[in-house]
Amino acid sequence: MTFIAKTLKIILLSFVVFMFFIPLYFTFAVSLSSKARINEGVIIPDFYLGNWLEIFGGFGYWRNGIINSLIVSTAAMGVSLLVSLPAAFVFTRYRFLADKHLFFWLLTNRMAPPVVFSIPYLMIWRGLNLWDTHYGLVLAYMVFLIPLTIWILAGFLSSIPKEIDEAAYIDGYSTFTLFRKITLPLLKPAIGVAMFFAWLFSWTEMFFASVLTSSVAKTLPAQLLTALGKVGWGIEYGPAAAAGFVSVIPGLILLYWIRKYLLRGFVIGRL
Amino acid sequence: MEKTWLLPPALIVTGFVGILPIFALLNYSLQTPFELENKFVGLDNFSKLFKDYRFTDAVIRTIIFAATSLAIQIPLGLGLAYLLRGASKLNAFISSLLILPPLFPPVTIGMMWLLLTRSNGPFGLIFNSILTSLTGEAYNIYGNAVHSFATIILMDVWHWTGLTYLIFLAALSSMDETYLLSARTEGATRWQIFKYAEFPQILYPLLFIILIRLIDSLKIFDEVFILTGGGPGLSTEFVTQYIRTMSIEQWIFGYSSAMSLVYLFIIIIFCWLLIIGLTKGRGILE
Amino acid sequence: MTSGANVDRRTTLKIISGTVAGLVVGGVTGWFARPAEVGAETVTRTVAETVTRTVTVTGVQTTPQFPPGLGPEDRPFLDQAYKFIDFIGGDTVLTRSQLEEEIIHYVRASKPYRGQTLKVMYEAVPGAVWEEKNLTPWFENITGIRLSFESMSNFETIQKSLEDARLKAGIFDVIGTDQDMNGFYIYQKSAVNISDLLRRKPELTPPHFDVQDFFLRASYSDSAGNLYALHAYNAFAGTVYRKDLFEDPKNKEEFKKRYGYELKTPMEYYSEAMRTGKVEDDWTTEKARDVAEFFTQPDKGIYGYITGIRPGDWLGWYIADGLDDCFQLSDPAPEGKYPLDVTHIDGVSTPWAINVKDEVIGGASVKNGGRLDSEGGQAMYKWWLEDSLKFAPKKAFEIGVVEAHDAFKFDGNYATMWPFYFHWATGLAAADSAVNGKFEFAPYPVYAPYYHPRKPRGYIDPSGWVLSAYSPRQEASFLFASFMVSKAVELKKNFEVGLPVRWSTIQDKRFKELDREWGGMITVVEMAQKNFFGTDNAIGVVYPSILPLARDKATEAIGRGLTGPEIAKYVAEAIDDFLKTTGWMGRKVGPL
Repeated sequence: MTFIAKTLKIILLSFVVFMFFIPLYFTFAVSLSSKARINEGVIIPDFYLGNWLEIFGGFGYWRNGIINSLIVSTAAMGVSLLVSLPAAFVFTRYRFLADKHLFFWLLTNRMAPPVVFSIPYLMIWRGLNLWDTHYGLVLAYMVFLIPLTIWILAGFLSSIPKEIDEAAYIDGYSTFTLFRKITLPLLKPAIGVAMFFAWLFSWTEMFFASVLTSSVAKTLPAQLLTALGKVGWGIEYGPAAAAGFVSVIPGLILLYWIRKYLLRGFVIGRL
Repeated sequence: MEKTWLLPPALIVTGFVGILPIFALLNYSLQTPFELENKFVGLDNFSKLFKDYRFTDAVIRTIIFAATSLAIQIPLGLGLAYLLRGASKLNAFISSLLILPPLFPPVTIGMMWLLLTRSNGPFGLIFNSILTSLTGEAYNIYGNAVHSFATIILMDVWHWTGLTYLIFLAALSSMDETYLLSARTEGATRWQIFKYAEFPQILYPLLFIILIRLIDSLKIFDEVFILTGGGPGLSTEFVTQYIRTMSIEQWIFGYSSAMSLVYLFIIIIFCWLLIIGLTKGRGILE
Repeated sequence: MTSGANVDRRTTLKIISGTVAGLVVGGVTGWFARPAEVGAETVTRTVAETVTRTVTVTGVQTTPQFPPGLGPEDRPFLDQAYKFIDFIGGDTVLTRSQLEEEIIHYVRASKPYRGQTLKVMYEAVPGAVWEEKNLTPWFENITGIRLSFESMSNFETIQKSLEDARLKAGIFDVIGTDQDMNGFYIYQKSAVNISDLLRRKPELTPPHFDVQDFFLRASYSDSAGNLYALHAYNAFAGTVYRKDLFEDPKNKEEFKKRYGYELKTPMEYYSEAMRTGKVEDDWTTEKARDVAEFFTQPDKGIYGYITGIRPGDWLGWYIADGLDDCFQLSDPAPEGKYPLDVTHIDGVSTPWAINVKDEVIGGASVKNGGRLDSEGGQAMYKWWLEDSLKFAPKKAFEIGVVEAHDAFKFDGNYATMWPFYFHWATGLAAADSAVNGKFEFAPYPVYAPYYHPRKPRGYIDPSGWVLSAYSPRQEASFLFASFMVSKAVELKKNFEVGLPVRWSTIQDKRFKELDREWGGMITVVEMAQKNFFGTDNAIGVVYPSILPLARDKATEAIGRGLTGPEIAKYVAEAIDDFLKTTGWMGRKVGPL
């Protein structure tokens, strides 16, 4: 690389590091600051631990938020995968009337802003006693997660050559055995990707959570929205920053586990 | 064909959560529910919509935002993928920093930027000194619409470049080298190599990421609401926020349902055109 | 089988029929497997706990007699009741025996409702937070009624209580919100008429309920005197100022030289005017402006005023919460009455100076009978969104009103702030406050040209517990709400939060001892009490819709850089447009 290119690279990279490191540091510092310090402006925190105590103890709002988020995210991820894997299989392996249109319709659900669906959900869920339950929120998330996971899985599935299928059929495999013994192992990275995105979406989703939950099933993002509007003694940036930090941790863990799969998994291949 | 029962579960669930609300919205958009009296107004709500300057402004604003943000984050992601695809500790470190923001909940990002861009926060101080030395104006997101809009775009780029970067990184690392080699031996310039050998191979990921990012940009709500709340005046009020104000806050529900349906339609048309265009008519299932 | 190169009709048919069958089966199983009704009566506490501890050894009765109506099965609850009585100890205005009477009542009255679960939602004002933290575990143990809470912000409470009212869904059993919504609830009939409930079920009434003791009964009643909420905590509002800056002789000299009249504290001006009866002597908006200007020395880092105008809900409620009272935009209360005594001021009333003569909704602009864009209204917007920003630091643009309160406490370099909520007194007096010992309270300043002694001049934001009319658990809800606001707990609560709702608390000697520490808050409340007013019941009917509208219009106006008077006209017109298109204008909403 030429000298100019190298210097540019260094400048660019320093800029990137700066832009992306400072917010992280800053949020962490705010979470360790008392209200007085936040008001002044946090460069170095004053190591006030009250905010983190509030997150894990206190009234339990934040703690419940974290627990509920974990429950809902995992459940949503599981259900959507369970339902989408067979569906993606059918879409890519078989042709039937209006299959492309059906697929597109599935995708259009992903395109809807949450606000569009919130009130209908609120009313229907209320009638079915699903309001403020984990079931209800998981069901609401399906409108995004099923299209998303089908799309990801279908993308990978269509790159597994159909010749493999044919060979297996000739060998006498039933579709189910084919799926289990051959397709599934090949599909592992794709499932990893789909799981990741499904879980992440549910973990970070705020709008439905704020409308469809209240005291029992309120998730962390909804709790953040509430905290940032609270009047009372003032807006609690400290605990909110700590909660914001907590909201990143599972994503980090997940990313670490599947980083090899992620890199390999995005091999979409030539089409 | 056996195993056709594999598909219905997904259809049932999505049908329930995806179609029922549409009917509900259609129902509401033809009336004035939850207001003083519920009367049938036919297509009145829709015609009001097209005369509503606040709505048309919001749509245009959202589109400008989406276009600008995408125009920055996608090339940036690609460039970074090229720059950082060697295996080295430095690259790995920077990658991990880049990839983090897409994992944050948007509401957390809104809150982070809220604190960061205050006049006593790191970005606030830095942007302020840059702006005052360049233009003599102080950095003021709540008073200056341009600053506000630019900050939102910056925040969105910051949020999502990691994702575009990741996707392109994967695409690049799985590229077939043979085309590149043959192009190089034939003496093509770097740009020609890119255009003819590499670009076609990243076309599918490119489509994927454009589509995803476009959809999400048109749906954006959380970060903007927390950071500017609509900005000075209405200068950062995007459509989702306007729908929310009309539906959950003011309960002018017939009108907001009409708005929701129209906006949904706009998004779908956009994406449909994009898919057709970028896959040259073959559709997304291919 | 083929691997699918052609469109296969049979496959399609199979898929369709499979889907239909699946829908039917799924629907049926879903119907039967649906989650249990939230809050169904689940017995969460087996009342059949062994009562063996009451077994006597030598025939001497070691346990107290069971109060009337209770038996051995209530032993655990009684134990808790006595423990709670000890917890309250002497921190109450009731005598020991009255206290016992009151708490035992809850054990008795809750018997039929034990095991129910209440869904409670409240705005996170310090009083409610204190209640949740300190009182609810006791309540659950004493009555056996379980509680499930959602604590939220102001805009969310309005939003969710609107949902409850519009959807008639009984989403919540008890709603803790502020009286702005009272007119709305009465009109929509979505809140329980508590007086009526107690008439039908007198056994629920606590012995020391003492409705007359509430400071601002009117704000929570309809015109017939029926109670629609239980008043829980009062956010009084007025002026806060730095006493030390006002009393500094150097400042007094300087001020006299520059402005030609004496610099006195706002409280001194007010007391003077009460003596002489002349508004020129009073703490007026004129004087407030002079004072703010005088104290603003940016190079020394001192400012005369602080506020917050970042886009947010306060751009709606800061006007409603007091600026319109400062500028005296409403009509006076009727002859012989004062704002504190009435639920509705016939004529122009606040918030937003809307004309509600004969309980018919008029408009906010002068041409529709209101006063929002009158001289006074224009002066109001001119002060808040134009002039005051010259006397406030740059950070006023980035913070909201609530954070401005924080700033007054932590930055410690602002001379005045109004409107200011008195319940911040406990915060200002805390150890980490920069103005500890240096602050004092006074009533609102007044706009002299519009002044009248029987107009509202102090905003009071009484928050309270509303019982949802769509809830099937109204009795348990009443027990919960009345427990939270009971005379038994009031004093103890207010030692910490400073939001007294009962006269007995305000006049209690021990509470008054805190007055000095709290900047004379109690003195102000006692002196200005007749002029405190909340939200007019008739305007309350449209309050929830106007709040976001006023906020959005103000935000827009600020963004477009309009001057104060222009903003007044802009907002007034927008409100009137809204009232007209939704059909509210000209509609009679009373009697409320």
